[in-house]
Amino acid sequence: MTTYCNTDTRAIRRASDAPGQGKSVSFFRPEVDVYEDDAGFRILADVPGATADSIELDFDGDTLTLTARVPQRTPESARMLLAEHQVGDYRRAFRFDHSVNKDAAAAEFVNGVLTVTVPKIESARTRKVPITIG
Amino acid sequence: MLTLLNRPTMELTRPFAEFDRLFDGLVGAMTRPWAIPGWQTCLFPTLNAWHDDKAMYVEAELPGFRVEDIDVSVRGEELTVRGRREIGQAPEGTNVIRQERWSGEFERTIRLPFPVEADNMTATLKDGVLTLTLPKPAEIMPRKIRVKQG
Repeated sequence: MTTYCNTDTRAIRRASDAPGQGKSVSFFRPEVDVYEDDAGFRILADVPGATADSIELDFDGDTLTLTARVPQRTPESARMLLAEHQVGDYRRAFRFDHSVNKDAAAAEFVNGVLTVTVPKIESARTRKVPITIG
Repeated sequence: MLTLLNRPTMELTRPFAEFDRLFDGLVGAMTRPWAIPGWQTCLFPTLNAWHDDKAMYVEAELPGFRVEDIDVSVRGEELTVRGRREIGQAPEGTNVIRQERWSGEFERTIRLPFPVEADNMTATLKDGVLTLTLPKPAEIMPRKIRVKQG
């Protein structure tokens, strides 16, 4: 039996992600790493085939939604020899608590990987209190 | 059709991979006695391949790879793609909330369905997608034969 690495996440087409649109829209769910430190959050998402122009990041309340449009790369007339992955749009959402500064969020796209940084607001950061010895 | 010759030579380090394998082993052993833990590894990267009159094309999704991380070679009838990606350790003081992206090495070999001009092979890496173009030699390109009026 052959197991494909990305079957678990990539190949799951989610038709339920677009409620109320009247038509079934399906997306791939990109694999992500999420880190948090004192300054804020860092999200890395594998979105091969997307371009900087095709990626949208929208904050709605405390939810950040990542959407990326991915065009088909195989010509329609292609005579397929091997078909192990499908190509399609990406979507994934992240919910933050109220401690992030949405306006200062930034994103960078390099080699098919999107990096999003979302800083925490000042008051949510841990503050070190200097102790002076009197 | 292409023949898949092998699995990745090295295990890809993915979170829960060990659990998946154990689970596969436990459940698999009940339903499929031949499913021994560790025997199953996943294929990476997945490949799409197609051809037209001029060439064969092979495509792999390799996000986060740089050109120097990938090695492509053709030997006889076999095409091999090797690569490596390091995610790196999270710096100290960083809380890892989620880690789904893998790091490690891979190697995949496929058998080519027809001879190709390996010297004229091209590889492009764009936005995390590797595309190989393997031109067909002139002798296997389709030829139109003109029908003469008798």
